[in-house]
Amino acid sequence: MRIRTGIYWSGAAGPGRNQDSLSLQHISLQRGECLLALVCDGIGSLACSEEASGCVVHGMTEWFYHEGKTLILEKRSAEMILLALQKQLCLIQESLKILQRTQKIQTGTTLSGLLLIGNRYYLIQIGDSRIYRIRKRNIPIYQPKYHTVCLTKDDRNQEGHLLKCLGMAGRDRALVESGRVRKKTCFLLCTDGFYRGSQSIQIGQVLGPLLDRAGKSGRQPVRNRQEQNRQFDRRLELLAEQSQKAGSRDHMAAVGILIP
Amino acid sequence: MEERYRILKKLAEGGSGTTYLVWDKRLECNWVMKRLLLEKEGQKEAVRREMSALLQIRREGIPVLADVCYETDAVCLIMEYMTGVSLEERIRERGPMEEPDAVFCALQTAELVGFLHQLPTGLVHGDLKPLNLMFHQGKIGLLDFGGAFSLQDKGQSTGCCFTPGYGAPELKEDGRPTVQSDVYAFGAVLFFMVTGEGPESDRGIYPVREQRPGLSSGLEALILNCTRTEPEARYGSMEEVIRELTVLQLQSQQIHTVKVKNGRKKKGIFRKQKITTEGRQFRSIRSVLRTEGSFRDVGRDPCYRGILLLVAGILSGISWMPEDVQAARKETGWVQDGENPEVLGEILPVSIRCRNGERKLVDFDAVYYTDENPMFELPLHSFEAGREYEVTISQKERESGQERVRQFVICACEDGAGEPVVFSGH
Repeated sequence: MRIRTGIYWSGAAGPGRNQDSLSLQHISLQRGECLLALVCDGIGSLACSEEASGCVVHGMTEWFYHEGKTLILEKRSAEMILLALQKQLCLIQESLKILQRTQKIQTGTTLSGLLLIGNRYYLIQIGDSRIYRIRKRNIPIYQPKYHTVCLTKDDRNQEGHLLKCLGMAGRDRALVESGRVRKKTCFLLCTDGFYRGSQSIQIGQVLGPLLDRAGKSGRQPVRNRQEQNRQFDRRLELLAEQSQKAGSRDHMAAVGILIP
Repeated sequence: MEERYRILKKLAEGGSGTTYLVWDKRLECNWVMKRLLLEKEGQKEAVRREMSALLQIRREGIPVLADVCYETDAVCLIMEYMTGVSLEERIRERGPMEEPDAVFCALQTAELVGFLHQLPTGLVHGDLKPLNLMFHQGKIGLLDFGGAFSLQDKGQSTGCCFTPGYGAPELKEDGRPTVQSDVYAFGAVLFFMVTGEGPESDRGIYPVREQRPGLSSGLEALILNCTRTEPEARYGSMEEVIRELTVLQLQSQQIHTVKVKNGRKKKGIFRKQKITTEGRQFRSIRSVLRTEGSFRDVGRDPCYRGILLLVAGILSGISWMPEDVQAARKETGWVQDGENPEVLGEILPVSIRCRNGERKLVDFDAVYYTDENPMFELPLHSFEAGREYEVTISQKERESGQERVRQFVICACEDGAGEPVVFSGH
């Protein structure tokens, strides 16, 4: 299984600092490929939210290369990995609390994360960032060819106020769950700026064709993977442009994962 | 008393009294006799506390109080004899414990202390230290309740004793032990178990992975959280500590795998397989981390402002690197186009610390934004003795965009002093 990945980060362009952070760590272990993808959107109304989002992606990435890698190598059960993820999130909450106390600021961030180990995924979600899953329909009659579904639920109330985030309250718990990955599936993790301008059908239309090609080029040499990753990046750029045209002024961050 | 008990030998002698091993002529069994002198101020209070504490406890691992004898200037407590060695003796003889053993012992200790806290009268031990923990019949036993204090007792504590290093900082002022002070002492004991160093030393309690990088981050965090200076910042109860330890114990269990012979599973033969994560057992395919967060360390004047792009130590002699990894490095932005990627060899883990010792970043390659002068620390286990390593630190001013690259070669000697290699960011 040669997983392909794509990223989009709007960088420092636009007004103010980019409060979105992302991390993509794709490694090859003896038992196969493993991947950690994270997208964080700092709460714009709070001060220095890029610190919070940066702190979360660094904390989780550090966890992946230390404890996470050990758990994967030792073939720990899904329950154990879920427990370890929850524990790490609690530690990150604590470090954010310390950051706020020492800096005398209020800060917070959303988090959408996906840990992929073998044929199992672990989903982490808090706030209004989203994780989409795109699959090809078997019988696409009177329906779009690609089925796009949002795996996460926005933690927002009817007025559009964010109910949960990492950092600010310090007590919100992230949703951590696990599931099976099927072949020919594409995941998209994105911040609200990215998905606001694009309908889920549009996301399916742009990223879905990659699924068709995945089967054909799945066994090609590794050196082609860079080119495939670049293609994936361009598709995400296309989606970002669509969002900007639709009026999205927010900074954007997105990570795409394609399982051929 | 002499009619009933015969002194066999002296076990220990302290400031408050002496402990003997005695033979009960009537019951024909061994007891421990703790003879406490009543000359000193507050000694009566300590004896009363120990007696009342022991009377209400019936649990395996805590000695049973069998009898009390009074003399003119002393009180003799006759207690269950727990054979074995103390934790302090064990560490002094065999050295620091491995993580699974330490977690196993710590869990038992935490359960005993937690049991005391949950008694109807709410008892705190008050003097938890390695000398008061005994390996008895394969389990941990808790001794010396002279510093025990009931949480329901609202009066001022008098004659309370605590051991330097194991006593919580607030005990110096208040002198009244609490659940949090027991949590502190427990953390200090756990620190002693895994490092073999007493917390009363000059260095105090430091992150244990500095000395033993093989320990888990969870254990390090547990010790640090137990031994925070502010009581509110510590764990609220021993139950929380037990929960954390249970998770650590599950994680440190070894895997049993079936030995396979000629492609078939052979029944009944099992092999313990321990997988260590030391060294590089993985290959990076794509590693990207994008953020504008700068992780400012607060309360300090920014003495250096810039973007430090960290390129790690390079193993001379190895120039192999897969193309996709090179691409990943280019993606992170710290390998310029046109630069020959073949000069990059194996990337060694690097830690970044502030001047106060706080660890800032991790053992992987990423762009690091800083407002102060960081220290780059290369752990010793990364190096092979007798080889030369080339270290490159590339840094870029955030405002002016000016870039500086520093390169130097270090040689790993056979007789290293055991200190990690540290460079300053300036």
